[in-house]
Amino acid sequence: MQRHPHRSLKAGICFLVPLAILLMGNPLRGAPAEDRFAERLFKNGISLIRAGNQEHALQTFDELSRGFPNSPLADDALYRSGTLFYPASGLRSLHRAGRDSIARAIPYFQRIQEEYTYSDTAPLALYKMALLALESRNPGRSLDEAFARFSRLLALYPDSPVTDRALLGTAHVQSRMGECGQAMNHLDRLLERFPESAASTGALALSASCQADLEQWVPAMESLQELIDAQGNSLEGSQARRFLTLIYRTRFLPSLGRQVPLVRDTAFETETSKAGMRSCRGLAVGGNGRVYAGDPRQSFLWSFQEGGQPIGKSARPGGIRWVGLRGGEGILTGNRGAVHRKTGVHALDRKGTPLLGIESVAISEDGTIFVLDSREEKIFLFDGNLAYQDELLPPGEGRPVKIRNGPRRHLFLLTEAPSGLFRREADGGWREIPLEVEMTETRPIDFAVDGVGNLYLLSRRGGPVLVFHPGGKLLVRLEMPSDPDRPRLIPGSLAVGPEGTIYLCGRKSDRIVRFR
Amino acid sequence: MNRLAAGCLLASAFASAGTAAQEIAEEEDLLDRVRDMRIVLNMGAVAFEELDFARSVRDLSRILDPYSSGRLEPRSSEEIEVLARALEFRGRAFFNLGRTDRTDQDFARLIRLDVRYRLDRERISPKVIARWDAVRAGIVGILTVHVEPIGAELFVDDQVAELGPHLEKDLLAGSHRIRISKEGFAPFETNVEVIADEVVRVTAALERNARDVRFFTIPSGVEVVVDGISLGVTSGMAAPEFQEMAARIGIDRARISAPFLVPNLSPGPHKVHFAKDCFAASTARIEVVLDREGDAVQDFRPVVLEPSQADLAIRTTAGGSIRMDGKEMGEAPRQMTQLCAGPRWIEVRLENGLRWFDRIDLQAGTSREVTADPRLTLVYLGIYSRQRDGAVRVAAKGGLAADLRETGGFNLILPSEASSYRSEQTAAFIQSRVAETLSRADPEIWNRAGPIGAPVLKRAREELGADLLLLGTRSSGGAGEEMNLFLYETGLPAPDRITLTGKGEGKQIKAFLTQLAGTRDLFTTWFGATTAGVSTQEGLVVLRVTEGGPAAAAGIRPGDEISAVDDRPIGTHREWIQRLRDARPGDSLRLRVEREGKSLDLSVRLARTPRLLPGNRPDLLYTKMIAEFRLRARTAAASAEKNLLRLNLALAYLRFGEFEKAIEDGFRQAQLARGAGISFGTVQYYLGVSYRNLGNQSRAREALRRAAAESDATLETHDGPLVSLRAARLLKETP
Repeated sequence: MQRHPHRSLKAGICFLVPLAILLMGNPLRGAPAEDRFAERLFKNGISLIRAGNQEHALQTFDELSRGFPNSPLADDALYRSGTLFYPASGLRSLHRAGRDSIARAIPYFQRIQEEYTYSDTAPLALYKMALLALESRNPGRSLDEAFARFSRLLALYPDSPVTDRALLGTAHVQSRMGECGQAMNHLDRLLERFPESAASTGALALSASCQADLEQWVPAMESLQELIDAQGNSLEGSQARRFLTLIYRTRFLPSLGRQVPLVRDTAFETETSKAGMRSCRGLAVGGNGRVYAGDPRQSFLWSFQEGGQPIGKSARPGGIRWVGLRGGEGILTGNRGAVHRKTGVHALDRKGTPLLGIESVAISEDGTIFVLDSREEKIFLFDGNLAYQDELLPPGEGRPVKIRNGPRRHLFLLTEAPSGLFRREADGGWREIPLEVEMTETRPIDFAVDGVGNLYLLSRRGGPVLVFHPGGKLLVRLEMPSDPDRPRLIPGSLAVGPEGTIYLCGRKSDRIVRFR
Repeated sequence: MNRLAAGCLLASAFASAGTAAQEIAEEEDLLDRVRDMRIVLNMGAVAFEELDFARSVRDLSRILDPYSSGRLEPRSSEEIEVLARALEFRGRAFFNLGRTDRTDQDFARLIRLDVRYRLDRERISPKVIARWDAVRAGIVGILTVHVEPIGAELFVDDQVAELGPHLEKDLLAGSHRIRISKEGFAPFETNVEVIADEVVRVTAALERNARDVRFFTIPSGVEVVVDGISLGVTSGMAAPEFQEMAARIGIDRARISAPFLVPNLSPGPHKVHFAKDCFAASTARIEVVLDREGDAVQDFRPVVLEPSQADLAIRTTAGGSIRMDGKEMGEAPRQMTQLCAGPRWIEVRLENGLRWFDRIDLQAGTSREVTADPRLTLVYLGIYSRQRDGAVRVAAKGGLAADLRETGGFNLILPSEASSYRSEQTAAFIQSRVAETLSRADPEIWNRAGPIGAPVLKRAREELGADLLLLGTRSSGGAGEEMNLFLYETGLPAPDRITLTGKGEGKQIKAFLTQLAGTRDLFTTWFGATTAGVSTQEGLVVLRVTEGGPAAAAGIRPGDEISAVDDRPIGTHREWIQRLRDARPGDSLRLRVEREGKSLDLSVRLARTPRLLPGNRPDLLYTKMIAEFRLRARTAAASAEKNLLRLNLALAYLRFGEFEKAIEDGFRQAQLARGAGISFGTVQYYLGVSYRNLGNQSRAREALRRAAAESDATLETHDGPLVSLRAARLLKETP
C-alpha cells in the first residue's frame, strides 16, 4: 500500500468538489470515496484469486491501477497482477516461469518502480525484477542486471521485508560471477542480521559452497554442520550432509595426508542385483542419493534407493542410450535420436533438422539441456521445452564423446582420439584441464564431476577410475577389483554420488557396483 | 401586546404543550407556558381592576379552561401559583357579575389546588371573604399530631409535613395517610379521616428498635469497621467510671481507649473489624440486644490488638543509606527490628550513586533479609489502546503490572503506585505524552515503530532514574487484534518490540518476564574443538581444535573421530552440542577416539569460554542487554569481566545500528588480550565493521588489518568462526 505524503491536502481539495463529478467517472485522486471504491475493487480481485479466477482478477486489478492510479492500493494491484504472471518468491523458485509469463509480468513491476518508488511494494517489485533477470527463459536475463537490481534494493530499501532475500540474491549472483569472497561478505551480513529468517538456510548452503570454492574447507564444513543442525533430516539437511561428506572425503582427509577412502560396497551391489537388470548403459545419481541406470536390452530405466534396494523400472520405448538428471524435475533419458518425456518420445531437431547422433546429454541448474551430437560433433542447447536455443563448437582435435555439468555451471567435455578433458569457462571459452596422468595411458570412456569439481575418469577396458582435483592433480587411483568369485568388472558407465561415491556398471551388468 | 397577539401566543402555548414529545422540549414548553399564563393573568387582573368583570372572566378562562377540561395538569409550583391567582380573580369576577355559584366552584377548585391559599382579608370585600370561608369550611378540616420522642419526621400522604412533637395542619376533608419515623425507632403509620370544619387528633408514641453500643480498644487509635463500614477511630483514654471494667479484665485503665459510641445499631449479629498500623487486626462478631425498658447503652468487652512486627536485614555490597516509606533509616548494611508489618517501601541509595528499591510485604513475626545490590530501574507505563472514538486509554493496574511486581529482579516503578515515583508530575508528563502521541499517530505506525520519543525517555532517565521503560499497545477490535510490548533503554530511541498473538499470549509474556528479570551468562562450556557428522562415519569427526583449549590439552587432533562419550555412543551432532551445553565448566568427559585405525581413550576437562551476544535474535531483549551490561560493567570488580561486558554492550548497540555508541562505550573500552578465541582480534573485527558502517574507511581498514592478522581469534565463542577469514574478505571490499 502506498503512502501519500500529501494525502490530507488531496482529501481537503476533494472535499470541496461535488460528489457528482466522482459519479460521472472523473474520479479525483486520493479522495476518500475513490479510496473506498479502490478498496472494494482490490478485495474483489483478491477474492477472485482465491476462487481461482485469475483472468478476472487480473482485469479487476488492471481496472484499479488504471482508473485509480493515486489510490493507496494502486501499487498493490500492480504488484498482484505482476505476481499472477510471476509468482517466484526466491532463488529456489527460479526457472519455473515461461517466456510469455515473464514478458507479461515485467511491465507491472517496472511500473511500480517508476511510478510508486516510495510505496511499500517498491522493494518487493524490485526484488521480483532482480529474480527475473536471473530467469533462464528471460531473453533479457543478465547477471549484471540482477546484481544491479539487488544492490539497488539494498541501497534504497535497507530495511525492507525482502532485505534478507536480497542479500542472499546478491551473494548468489556474486558466486555465479566467481566472486565468492564478496558473496561471503553479504552472506555474513545476512546471517548476522537475519539468523532466523527463511533465507538463512540458503545463506548457509551458499556460504558453504562459496567457502568450498575459496578452498576454506573447514569453515565450509562448519557451515554445513550448522545447516544440518538447523534443518535436521529435511531435504536441505540431507543435501548438506552429503556435501559435507564429500568435502570431508575428498578435501579434508587429503589435507591431513590421508587417503580418500573408497571401499567396494558389496551390500549395495547385492541389492541392485535383485532388480533384474540385463544390461547397463548410462548411470546417474540424484542429489537425494537415488541411482538411475539405463537397461538398453530391455529398454528400461531402473531406479534404486540410496542403499541399492530397487524402486522400480519404467519403459523407455525406442531404446535407451543415455541418462541425464534434471535438477528438481526428475530424470531425462533418450537414445541417439530422441528424448523420453512423460508425454512420449520426442525427436530433437535443430531448426527442422533432426539430431540423429545424440551421444550424451547434460542438464544445467537453470534447465538448459546440452546435447552432444557425435555425428555433427557439436553441442546443441535446448530449453526445458526442448526448443532449440543455440549450439557450441567443441574444442580440440579429438572426437567429442561425453559432456557433463559441474559445479558453478561449468560444462565439461571428454574427447577421444586424442583424449582430452575440457571445461567451458564463464567467458564461453574452453580450457583443457592438465591432468597429472597422461590420458593416452587410460583413454577414458566416461567421466563424472562431483559437487566440488573433482573429476572422475573411467578408463577403457577395465582400467582404473582416476579421481582428479579440479586443477588436474591426481587424488585417487581406484583399480578394478579382481575377485575370483565374481566375473571381472569391465565398466562402461560411471556416475558419482553427492558424497563422492563412485558408481559403475558394464554393458552386460546385472548390477551396479559402488565404491564409498 | 394586543389581544390578538396574546391570544395567538396563548393558543400556541397550549397547542405546543399538548403535542410536546420529548422531555427537554416539554420543559422548555412549560417555561414558555407559565410566562404566557402570567401575561394573560395580568390582562385578567387589569380587566378586573377596570371593573370589566366579563372581560376578566374571558381572559382568565383562557388560562383555566385547559386545566378544567383535563387537557393539562399543573406540573410546577409556579404553574400552581398562577392557576391559583387566576381562580381567585375569576371567582371574584363571577361574584361581581352575580354568579355566586361559579364563585363557589372557582373557590372550591382553588382550595383543592392549594389548601394553604389565603385571601387578603383587608383588601377584599367581606362578602367575598364570607363566601370564601363558607366554601372552605365545607371542604377543609384540621389534623393535629402529637409524637414522642421529639425529633421524628412526619409525612402526610408521603409529603414531608414537619419535624416536631406537635403538628397542626389544614387538610382537605377525606382520607389521609400519616407516617412517622425516627432513626432507632420503629416507624408509625396510620390512616385518618379528616372531616370538613372539624379537628382530628392523632397521638403516636414511637418504640425503640435499635440500641446504642460502645466499643473500647487497647490501644486507642484503632479503626472501627462495622459490617464493612468504617465508622471512625477510637481515641483518648477510658474515664474513671470505667475503672471497674478495667479491673474486671485485668488491664490498666490508662491503656484502654475512651468509649467509641456507635448509635442505633440494629439488634442481632454484627461483624466488627478493628485495625491499626503495626498491630494485628482483629474481627469480632457481636450480638446487639434491645433494651426496651431502659434503653441503656450496650458496652462490649475491650478489644486488645497485639503488636504486629517484623525484622528486616538489608545487605549490600556497595553500602548506602536506607529509607523506609520515605524516612531515613540509617546506613546499609543494617539489621532493623520491630518494624511494623505490612507493605513497606524500602529504598537504598547506594554509595556508587545507584539505587535499589522495592515494595516489601513484611509478615508479622518473621525476619526478612534482602540483598540490595545495584539493579536496573524499570518504569512500566501500562497497556495503551485506542478506542473507536480516537481516545487513548491506558490500563496500568493488574495484569502485567502484577506480573512484573511478582517477577522482581529490578527496581519497579508503577504508575498505579504514585508514591513510588520521585515526582508524580514526571509520571503524569510521561503518561500524557505517550497518550497524546498515540492519539495522533496512525496505529500502524505506533504498532511498528513504538510510541515514545527522545524527550520522554530523557525525562524518565533524568527524573525517575529509569534504565528501562516498558509499555504495551493493543489494537482495538477486528481480526487483526494484537498486542505489542515496547521495551526502551532510556538512552536509545529504538525499542525492542515483542508482538504477542492472542494464542499463547500468557506463555509469551512469561517468557518475556523471565528474560527481563534474568541475567545473561557471559560464559558457556568450552570443549575446544569443532566437530561434524559425516555420512560415512559412525561418530563425529573433529574439524578444528582451538589452541590452548580443553580438547587440545587432552590430545585431540583434527581428523579424529569421536565415537563414544562416557562409554555411550556420541549420537548426532545436535545431541553432542546439547550435551556440552548441559555440562558445566570443570566437568570431565571420557572420549573414545578413533585415529587412523586405532582407538584411544582420552579425558577432556571442560573449561569455559566467553559467549558473545548474537547479532540479531528475535527472542532476545537487546535494550535490556544494553542496560544490564552497562550496569554490570559499572559495578564489576574484575577487569576481565568488565572488558567482556563492554564487548557485549557494543554488540547490543550494533543491533540498533548505533555504531558510534558501540565504538565509544564498547569496543574502545574492551581491552582484550591477543591470542586464540575471543580476543583482541575479535574486538578489532567488530571495530572495523562499525567504522565501515560509519563510512570511516581508513579506520575500518586499520582495524580489519589488525583483525586479519589474528589467525586464531574467533567470533561467538572460543570455538566460533575464525575472525581472520572474515576480516580479510571485508578488507578486500574496504576501499
